[in-house]
Order: sequence, then structure tokens, then C-alpha cells
Amino acid sequence: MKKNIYIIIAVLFMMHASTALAGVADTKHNLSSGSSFTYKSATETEVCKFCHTPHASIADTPLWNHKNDVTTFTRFSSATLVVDDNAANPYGYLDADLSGASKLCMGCHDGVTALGALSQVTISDVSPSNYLTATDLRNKHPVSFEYKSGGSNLWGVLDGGVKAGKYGLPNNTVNNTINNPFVSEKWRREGERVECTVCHDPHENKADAADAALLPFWVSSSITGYDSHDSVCVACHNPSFGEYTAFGEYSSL
Amino acid sequence: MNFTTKTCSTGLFLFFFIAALFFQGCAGSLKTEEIFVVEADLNWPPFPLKPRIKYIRSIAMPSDIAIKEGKGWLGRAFDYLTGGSLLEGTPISAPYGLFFDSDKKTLYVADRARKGIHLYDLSKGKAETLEAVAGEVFEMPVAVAVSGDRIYVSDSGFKKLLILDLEGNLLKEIDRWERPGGIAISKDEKRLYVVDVLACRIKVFDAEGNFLFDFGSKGEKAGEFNLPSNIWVDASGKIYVTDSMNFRVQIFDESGKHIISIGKLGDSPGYLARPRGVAVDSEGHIYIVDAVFDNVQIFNPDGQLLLFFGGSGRGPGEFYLPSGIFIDEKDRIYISDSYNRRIQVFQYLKEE
Repeated sequence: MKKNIYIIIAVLFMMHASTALAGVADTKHNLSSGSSFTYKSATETEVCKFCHTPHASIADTPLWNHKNDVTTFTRFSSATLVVDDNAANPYGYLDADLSGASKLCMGCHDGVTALGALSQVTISDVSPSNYLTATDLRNKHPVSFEYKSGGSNLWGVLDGGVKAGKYGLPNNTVNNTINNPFVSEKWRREGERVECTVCHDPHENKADAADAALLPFWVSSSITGYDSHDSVCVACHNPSFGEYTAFGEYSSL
Repeated sequence: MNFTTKTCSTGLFLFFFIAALFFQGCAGSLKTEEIFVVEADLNWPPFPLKPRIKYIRSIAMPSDIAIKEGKGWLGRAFDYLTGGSLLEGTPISAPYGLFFDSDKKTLYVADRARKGIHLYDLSKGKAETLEAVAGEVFEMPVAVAVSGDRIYVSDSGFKKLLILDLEGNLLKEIDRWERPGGIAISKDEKRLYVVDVLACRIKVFDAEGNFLFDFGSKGEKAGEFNLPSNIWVDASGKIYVTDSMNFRVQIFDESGKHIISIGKLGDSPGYLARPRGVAVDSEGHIYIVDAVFDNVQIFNPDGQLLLFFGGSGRGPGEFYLPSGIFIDEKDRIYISDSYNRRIQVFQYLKEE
């Protein structure tokens, strides 16, 4: 009986993995030779390895430091393709920084290997009175900050060191079903943090569809019309949440 | 009458006094050992093993290099009034490529977020940030190198290689790139090597920017690339290219003939996951920055792992998506610690 359960779990996992693979294979994140996109490897057939580092079973011993007992560098790079390698403290020392999946994204999107930039955000502590700081919030959305269940729902924002108002975020118990990142599996898997993957799905690019009007790898359920972009934005920034609006400033909660 | 004269002479005395202080301040510039004062006692491998890499300091903003000693408050006040040592540079935000000019003791940093090139003159304690060339602002400057009185910048957004004078005036613009990346200059300063990331080619120019030859193509065999990104030329003329999506560094002779490849994909010491900057010290050790491991691995010319240093974090000697690396002739190692928004400086310790 127990054995059957393991088999079922294994099959389910494989189904999940193959679904993800089928998705990413049709995007420009497929850098293998089988990709239908411009930039790809000439001969490499594996799809996953370009983002998810496989385990190297035989570690080299550093000749200048035989006492070093570190055998793997386990940042989102295990053989099981799990981004977070420590469920209890997935981000550890980087708790208030770019982390998890976002770090994986920016590992390639560095301006050279792949283009792309983001507004770097730092948070000293997580509470309603604290301020997000960013060098420039005018054209990049901040990523990699914590939004926990029962946590804060009003963020102060410093733009270039100057107070740029407060951003109202929905209470995450609000029943907003349209792409609500705060009920999504992705958000929870990211340790209840807003990472790149809350708005972008690196494994699926609906923007590639012929009639799509979408940002690259956008998560929305539809590819045209209102739902295509705004539905994702208003999941957090929504006037209908009453006291919480998109970008308005509030004197009190 | 008497009163006026007295005021005048006091004023004149004060003027000369302040002027003397000012010129005294101007004449002094920091010596190398003063620039590279060790900020934290960190060594790799750690005690009791014999240290090979020593942490020196980090540089994140103009005030980090401001000369704090050697001037009285009056001299500083005079400077303030006359603009003598006002810091015009901006803090480092998202550094990638970098270069240290040992003669001028100036650190050049390509900054993608500031969209500019920082010029941090460590001996004078002054910083400038170049944000536009010939009226055009940078889009994504990713690499910088300096030779004589020329600055070379590659902008991956504009798809251009720019040759500037030391004041930032445009001397030459080279286009026809798919995406320009890393830049390296040979030690005799006669050759300029620039990576075309998407074309999977290394282009070679003379110092004036005249095209000489190129090598490389897309693939996985020796001499072929999959998104090459960073480049280095050692004292003997050997060329080191980070072949990022083949997860290795390839080494070529000066004609572009393949010699050896180092590294392969994996998550253990000696393997590479997201290799970025590559550089070589005076004894031929090869330093490879890895953005996933947040460390620097050091290999010998045969590709054997000697040591790694760093690790994820924000403290001294820790990294957060590091990218570019530069090693000067004194074996000081400069690393762009991109998401910690700083440059960290280390010293390779030779065997005595």
C-alpha cells in the first residue's frame, strides 16, 4: 500500500515535471538545440540545465585547502530542480534581499548573457511602518520582498532616498480570485515573498502567441484585453480593496 | 582709518594662511599603501593554513575614497567654498566590468543601473561619473578598459563599442555588434579584444579600434562558444574567455588557437554554474567568478582547483551575484559585487 503511494507520488511528480518541460520547451528560455528561437545551443539537447544546475557527484578537492569540507554549493541548484533548498529558512542570510527564484533569474539577466534589469529593493525589517528603498521605482517594479500572511498591508516607499508615498497592498485575506498572488501556490512556495515569478512564469511565455499583447513570460490567464496585464497588477494594487489603493498615500490604516 | 588698515591686513593674512593650507592639501595625494589599508582581517584558506588570498577593502561610494586625513578643518572649509574636493561622482549601484589603472590609481567601473562609468581616483580621493558621451546617455554599459589616454566602453544596450579620451569625449564608435560584452587589452597595449556575446565571436582590434581579425563560432567543441561573456588577456598574451552557457572558460593563444578548457556544469567545488568574470594573476592562476555560487574559484593553468573564496552574503569577503573581475600588476583583485553595490578588493599573497 505504502509502495503504491510512492509510485503515485513519483508519477505525479513526473507529470508535473514533464508539464513544465513541455511549457518551457516552447519559449525562448529553451536554450537547447531543439529550440525554435534564435538564440540557442548548437548541439546541447538538454533544456533544464541552463537554469537548474545539476548535481556534480565528484567534488574536486581544492589543492590549497585540503581541510575544506564543503562539497556542494547548494543554492537553488540541486538535482531535483528545487529553487529553495531549505524549507525552514529558504533565504537565510539573504532574507531581506533578492532571493530564491529572483536570484536565479538575475543570474542570467545581467546585461551581458541576457538583457534585463530590475529595481533593487532593500527592506530592513518587515512591519507596516518600514520603508522599501529603491534607486528608481519609476520604471521597474520592486521584487524580492516579504509579504506574509497577516503581515503588513501598507508599505512606505523611498525613491532615491526621498519619501515617495505609501503603497497600499491588499490584505491577503481579501478574496480576490483574479490572479491573486497572495493565494497562489507560487507565492507560498517563494516563502510568501514577491519574487519575479509572481508576475512572470519563466516556463511559459504566452507573449509568443500570435495575437498576444503581453509582457514577456507574463502570468495572466488571458492574452488580450483587460485581463492580459491589469488583472495581475490589480491583484495587489486594487481600489476595490477600499482603503487600499494602487499608489495612494494614507495617513493611517 | 587705523581700524580699516587693521582689518585689511588681518584679511590679507587670513587669505595667505588659507591659501597655504589649500595648496598643502592639493599637493598631498595618497600613496598606494594608504589607499589599500586592510579593513578586515580575512584570509583564505583560513588559519592555521597558509593564507593565499587576503581581503583588503570595499568601495561603494565616493565618500569611501575621500581623503579623510592630512587636511585641517580650515583647509576642508576652503575646499568646500572653492569646490576643491567636492565629490561629483555617484555611488556604485550595479557594477559589472571594471578596470584599475595602476599609473593613475583610478578605478573605472561600468554601472548598469547608474547607466554610466565611474572614475574613482583613489590617490586624490575624487570621483566622477561619466553618464553621457557626445550628448548621448549610456543604455547598458557593461565593460570598461583603459589604455594610455583612451577609455574603451562596451554598451550592450546600444550595441556599440565606444573609444573615449580621458575626459569622456568620443574618439571613435564601433558598431555592427549583435551584443558587445567583455573587453580586454593586451599588456603591450597593442591589441583590444571584445566579446560579441550573441555572435559567439571574439573580435580583435588595434588600440585605435581598427579591426584586425576575429575567431570563434557557435557550438560546444573546443574553440566554439555558447554566449561568451567576459574576457582576459594575461601577461604572455594568452586569451581567457568565459563561455557562459557551455559552463567553462576557454584559453587561447594570441592568434586565437584553442589551448585548453576549464570547468564544467555542476554544483561542487571545481565546477561552474554561472561563470562570469575571469582574470589571471602574475603567477598564472586563473580566477573565475561564479554568480550562483557567489564565490571566486582559483584554478592552475591545467584546470585543477586550487582554492575558492567568498560565499553568499553581505559582509566583507561575501558576494551577492558578483560579476566582473580585474587583477592589477601588484596582484590586487578587484571584484564587482553587483547586488551588494560595491567593489571588493583582495590581495593574492605570493609564496616567499
